[in-house]
Amino acid sequence: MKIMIVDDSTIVRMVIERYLKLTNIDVVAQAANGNDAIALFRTHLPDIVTLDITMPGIDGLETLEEMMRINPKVKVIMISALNSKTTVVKAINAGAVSYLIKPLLAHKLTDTLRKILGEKP
Amino acid sequence: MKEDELRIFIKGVMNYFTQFEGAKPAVGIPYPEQNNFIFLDYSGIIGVVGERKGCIYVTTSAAMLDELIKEMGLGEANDELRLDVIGEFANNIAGNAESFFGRNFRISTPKVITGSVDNINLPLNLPVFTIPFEWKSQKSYLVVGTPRRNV
Repeated sequence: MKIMIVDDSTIVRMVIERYLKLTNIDVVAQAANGNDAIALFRTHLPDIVTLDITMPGIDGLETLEEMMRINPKVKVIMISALNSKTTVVKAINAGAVSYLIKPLLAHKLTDTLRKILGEKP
Repeated sequence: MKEDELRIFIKGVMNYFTQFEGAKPAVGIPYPEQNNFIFLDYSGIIGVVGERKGCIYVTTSAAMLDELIKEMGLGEANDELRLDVIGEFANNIAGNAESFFGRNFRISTPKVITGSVDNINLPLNLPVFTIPFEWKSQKSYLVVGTPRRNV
Protein backbone atom coordinates (compact mmCIF):
# COMPACT_ATOMS: atom_id res chain seq x y z
CA MET A 1 0.00 0.00 0.00
CA LYS A 2 1.26 3.46 -0.94
CA ILE A 3 0.18 6.67 0.72
CA MET A 4 0.70 10.35 -0.08
CA ILE A 5 0.53 13.13 2.54
CA VAL A 6 -0.76 16.56 1.50
CA ASP A 7 -0.71 19.47 3.96
CA ASP A 8 0.79 22.95 3.81
CA SER A 9 2.18 22.50 7.33
CA THR A 10 5.56 20.76 7.57
CA ILE A 11 4.79 19.85 11.17
CA VAL A 12 1.50 18.18 10.26
CA ARG A 13 3.20 16.17 7.50
CA MET A 14 5.91 15.11 9.97
CA VAL A 15 3.33 14.10 12.57
CA ILE A 16 1.28 12.09 10.06
CA GLU A 17 4.46 10.37 8.82
CA ARG A 18 5.29 9.54 12.43
CA TYR A 19 1.83 8.05 13.01
CA LEU A 20 2.12 6.03 9.79
CA LYS A 21 5.19 4.29 11.18
CA LEU A 22 2.66 2.41 13.34
CA THR A 23 1.31 0.84 10.13
CA ASN A 24 2.78 -1.06 7.18
CA ILE A 25 1.97 1.68 4.72
CA ASP A 26 4.75 3.35 2.72
CA VAL A 27 4.78 7.11 2.31
CA VAL A 28 5.59 7.58 -1.38
CA ALA A 29 5.16 11.34 -1.65
CA GLN A 30 4.41 14.50 0.27
CA ALA A 31 3.08 17.83 -0.99
CA ALA A 32 2.47 21.24 0.56
CA ASN A 33 -0.14 22.51 -1.90
CA GLY A 34 -2.79 21.29 -4.32
CA ASN A 35 -0.84 21.81 -7.53
CA ASP A 36 2.18 19.82 -6.35
CA ALA A 37 -0.16 17.20 -4.91
CA ILE A 38 -1.89 16.61 -8.24
CA ALA A 39 1.44 16.37 -10.09
CA LEU A 40 2.84 13.90 -7.55
CA PHE A 41 -0.42 11.98 -7.54
CA ARG A 42 -0.15 11.38 -11.30
CA THR A 43 3.47 10.22 -10.90
CA HIS A 44 3.12 7.95 -7.87
CA LEU A 45 -0.53 6.84 -8.10
CA PRO A 46 -0.87 6.23 -4.35
CA ASP A 47 -3.62 3.97 -3.01
CA ILE A 48 -4.38 6.34 -0.12
CA VAL A 49 -4.04 10.11 0.29
CA THR A 50 -4.31 12.23 3.43
CA LEU A 51 -5.47 15.65 2.28
CA ASP A 52 -5.73 19.03 4.02
CA ILE A 53 -8.30 21.59 2.82
CA THR A 54 -7.00 25.07 3.65
CA MET A 55 -3.88 25.34 1.51
CA PRO A 56 -2.36 28.01 -0.72
CA GLY A 57 -3.49 27.88 -4.37
CA ILE A 58 -5.86 25.04 -5.20
CA ASP A 59 -7.61 24.05 -1.97
CA GLY A 60 -8.05 20.49 -0.76
CA LEU A 61 -11.62 20.10 -2.03
CA GLU A 62 -10.62 21.02 -5.61
CA THR A 63 -7.56 18.79 -5.29
CA LEU A 64 -9.80 15.95 -4.15
CA GLU A 65 -12.08 16.36 -7.19
CA GLU A 66 -9.08 16.26 -9.54
CA MET A 67 -7.61 13.19 -7.84
CA MET A 68 -10.96 11.41 -8.12
CA ARG A 69 -11.02 12.23 -11.86
CA ILE A 70 -7.53 10.75 -12.28
CA ASN A 71 -8.19 7.64 -10.16
CA PRO A 72 -11.74 7.12 -8.86
CA LYS A 73 -10.52 4.17 -6.75
CA VAL A 74 -8.14 6.20 -4.59
CA LYS A 75 -9.02 6.36 -0.88
CA VAL A 76 -8.77 9.95 0.30
CA ILE A 77 -8.82 10.83 3.99
CA MET A 78 -9.49 14.53 4.55
CA ILE A 79 -7.62 15.96 7.55
CA SER A 80 -8.68 19.53 8.27
CA ALA A 81 -9.40 21.96 11.10
CA LEU A 82 -12.59 22.96 9.28
CA ASN A 83 -15.41 21.23 11.10
CA SER A 84 -18.75 22.35 9.69
CA LYS A 85 -21.22 19.75 8.48
CA THR A 86 -21.36 21.54 5.11
CA THR A 87 -17.62 21.12 4.54
CA VAL A 88 -17.64 17.49 5.67
CA VAL A 89 -20.59 16.63 3.40
CA LYS A 90 -18.95 18.44 0.49
CA ALA A 91 -15.80 16.34 0.92
CA ILE A 92 -17.66 13.05 1.27
CA ASN A 93 -19.84 13.86 -1.75
CA ALA A 94 -16.68 14.60 -3.74
CA GLY A 95 -15.38 11.12 -2.97
CA ALA A 96 -13.46 11.27 0.32
CA VAL A 97 -13.77 8.04 2.34
CA SER A 98 -13.24 9.72 5.70
CA TYR A 99 -12.95 13.15 7.31
CA LEU A 100 -10.77 13.69 10.38
CA ILE A 101 -10.86 16.99 12.23
CA LYS A 102 -7.63 18.58 13.45
CA PRO A 103 -5.97 18.38 15.85
CA LEU A 104 -5.20 14.91 14.54
CA LEU A 105 -5.04 12.10 17.05
CA ALA A 106 -2.90 9.07 16.19
CA HIS A 107 -5.56 6.48 16.97
CA LYS A 108 -8.12 8.21 14.73
CA LEU A 109 -5.79 8.01 11.75
CA THR A 110 -4.70 4.43 12.41
CA ASP A 111 -8.32 3.32 13.02
CA THR A 112 -9.37 4.91 9.73
CA LEU A 113 -6.51 3.22 7.89
CA ARG A 114 -7.41 -0.15 9.41
CA LYS A 115 -10.98 0.28 8.18
CA ILE A 116 -9.75 1.17 4.70
CA LEU A 117 -7.45 -1.85 4.69
CA GLY A 118 -10.25 -4.07 5.98
CA GLU A 119 -8.36 -4.95 9.15
CA LYS A 120 -10.01 -5.60 12.48
CA PRO A 121 -9.10 -3.13 15.26
CA MET B 1 -18.67 39.67 20.36
CA LYS B 2 -21.06 37.60 22.42
CA GLU B 3 -19.99 35.32 25.25
CA ASP B 4 -20.92 32.13 23.39
CA GLU B 5 -18.85 33.29 20.42
CA LEU B 6 -15.80 33.85 22.62
CA ARG B 7 -16.41 30.46 24.16
CA ILE B 8 -16.02 28.84 20.73
CA PHE B 9 -12.51 30.24 20.44
CA ILE B 10 -11.67 29.15 23.99
CA LYS B 11 -12.89 25.68 23.03
CA GLY B 12 -10.57 25.86 20.02
CA VAL B 13 -7.60 26.52 22.32
CA MET B 14 -8.58 23.63 24.59
CA ASN B 15 -9.14 21.32 21.59
CA TYR B 16 -5.67 22.00 20.25
CA PHE B 17 -4.10 20.57 23.40
CA THR B 18 -6.13 17.34 23.29
CA GLN B 19 -3.39 15.91 21.05
CA PHE B 20 -0.98 16.03 24.00
CA GLU B 21 -1.12 13.93 27.12
CA GLY B 22 -0.66 15.56 30.49
CA ALA B 23 -0.95 19.26 31.22
CA LYS B 24 -4.00 21.08 29.92
CA PRO B 25 -4.02 24.82 29.29
CA ALA B 26 -5.47 27.24 31.82
CA VAL B 27 -7.56 29.88 30.08
CA GLY B 28 -7.90 33.33 31.65
CA ILE B 29 -10.73 35.82 31.42
CA PRO B 30 -11.06 37.44 27.98
CA TYR B 31 -10.78 41.21 27.91
CA PRO B 32 -11.49 43.86 25.27
CA GLU B 33 -8.57 45.68 23.72
CA GLN B 34 -8.62 48.70 21.42
CA ASN B 35 -4.94 49.16 20.77
CA ASN B 36 -1.59 48.00 22.14
CA PHE B 37 -2.27 44.49 20.91
CA ILE B 38 0.11 42.03 22.46
CA PHE B 39 2.75 40.24 20.41
CA LEU B 40 5.21 37.74 21.86
CA ASP B 41 8.06 35.95 20.06
CA TYR B 42 5.94 34.20 17.40
CA SER B 43 2.44 34.89 16.07
CA GLY B 44 0.18 32.99 13.67
CA ILE B 45 -2.45 35.13 11.94
CA ILE B 46 -5.58 33.91 10.15
CA GLY B 47 -7.66 36.29 8.04
CA VAL B 48 -11.43 35.84 8.13
CA VAL B 49 -13.87 36.86 5.39
CA GLY B 50 -17.58 36.31 4.84
CA GLU B 51 -20.29 37.49 7.20
CA ARG B 52 -17.48 38.25 9.59
CA LYS B 53 -14.41 40.16 8.60
CA GLY B 54 -11.13 40.59 10.39
CA CYS B 55 -8.59 38.21 11.78
CA ILE B 56 -7.56 36.14 14.72
CA TYR B 57 -4.04 35.56 15.88
CA VAL B 58 -2.23 33.44 18.43
CA THR B 59 0.95 34.79 19.94
CA THR B 60 3.37 32.90 22.12
CA SER B 61 6.94 32.48 23.25
CA ALA B 62 9.68 30.48 21.57
CA ALA B 63 9.88 28.34 24.72
CA MET B 64 6.21 27.36 24.39
CA LEU B 65 6.66 26.37 20.74
CA ASP B 66 9.78 24.37 21.58
CA GLU B 67 7.74 22.50 24.16
CA LEU B 68 4.96 21.80 21.64
CA ILE B 69 7.50 20.49 19.11
CA LYS B 70 8.95 18.25 21.81
CA GLU B 71 5.48 16.97 22.74
CA MET B 72 4.88 16.12 19.08
CA GLY B 73 7.97 13.93 19.22
CA LEU B 74 9.69 15.85 16.45
CA GLY B 75 12.99 16.41 18.18
CA GLU B 76 15.01 19.59 18.10
CA ALA B 77 13.12 22.83 17.46
CA ASN B 78 14.29 25.39 14.93
CA ASP B 79 12.91 28.66 13.61
CA GLU B 80 11.22 27.05 10.59
CA LEU B 81 9.38 24.53 12.77
CA ARG B 82 8.37 27.20 15.30
CA LEU B 83 6.82 29.31 12.54
CA ASP B 84 5.04 26.26 11.17
CA VAL B 85 3.65 25.26 14.57
CA ILE B 86 2.31 28.72 15.39
CA GLY B 87 0.63 28.91 11.97
CA GLU B 88 -0.98 25.52 12.38
CA PHE B 89 -2.06 26.36 15.93
CA ALA B 90 -3.90 29.45 14.66
CA ASN B 91 -5.35 27.44 11.75
CA ASN B 92 -6.73 24.83 14.17
CA ILE B 93 -8.46 27.42 16.33
CA ALA B 94 -9.96 29.32 13.40
CA GLY B 95 -10.96 26.17 11.53
CA ASN B 96 -12.62 24.66 14.58
CA ALA B 97 -14.85 27.76 14.77
CA GLU B 98 -16.36 27.02 11.35
CA SER B 99 -19.14 24.77 12.64
CA PHE B 100 -20.35 27.54 14.95
CA PHE B 101 -20.10 30.48 12.58
CA GLY B 102 -21.20 28.59 9.48
CA ARG B 103 -20.07 28.49 5.91
CA ASN B 104 -19.80 32.26 5.71
CA PHE B 105 -16.85 32.08 8.09
CA ARG B 106 -14.05 31.63 5.57
CA ILE B 107 -10.47 31.51 6.73
CA SER B 108 -7.15 32.18 5.04
CA THR B 109 -3.98 30.15 5.19
CA PRO B 110 -1.81 31.29 8.13
CA LYS B 111 0.58 34.21 8.02
CA VAL B 112 3.37 33.87 10.53
CA ILE B 113 5.57 36.55 12.05
CA THR B 114 8.22 36.95 14.68
CA GLY B 115 8.20 39.81 17.16
CA SER B 116 6.00 42.87 16.68
CA VAL B 117 3.94 43.80 13.63
CA ASP B 118 5.43 47.08 12.50
CA ASN B 119 5.64 46.06 8.86
CA ILE B 120 2.35 44.29 8.24
CA ASN B 121 -1.20 45.48 7.86
CA LEU B 122 -3.08 43.46 10.46
CA PRO B 123 -6.74 43.12 9.38
CA LEU B 124 -7.94 43.17 12.97
CA ASN B 125 -11.39 44.77 13.29
CA LEU B 126 -12.90 46.18 16.49
CA PRO B 127 -14.25 45.04 18.83
CA VAL B 128 -11.20 42.96 19.65
CA PHE B 129 -10.95 40.52 22.54
CA THR B 130 -7.78 39.05 23.98
CA ILE B 131 -7.99 35.59 25.54
CA PRO B 132 -4.98 34.81 27.76
CA PHE B 133 -3.97 31.21 28.32
CA GLU B 134 -1.11 29.37 29.93
CA TRP B 135 0.36 25.95 29.32
CA LYS B 136 3.32 24.49 31.17
CA SER B 137 3.95 27.92 32.74
CA GLN B 138 4.16 29.58 29.32
CA LYS B 139 1.82 32.50 28.74
CA SER B 140 0.15 32.90 25.35
CA TYR B 141 -2.66 34.97 23.93
CA LEU B 142 -5.41 34.44 21.39
CA VAL B 143 -6.60 37.75 19.93
CA VAL B 144 -9.94 37.77 18.11
CA GLY B 145 -11.20 40.68 16.02
CA THR B 146 -13.82 39.30 13.66
CA PRO B 147 -17.02 41.32 14.07
CA ARG B 148 -20.05 40.83 11.86
CA ARG B 149 -19.84 43.08 8.80
CA ASN B 150 -22.83 45.17 9.92
CA VAL B 151 -21.41 45.88 13.42
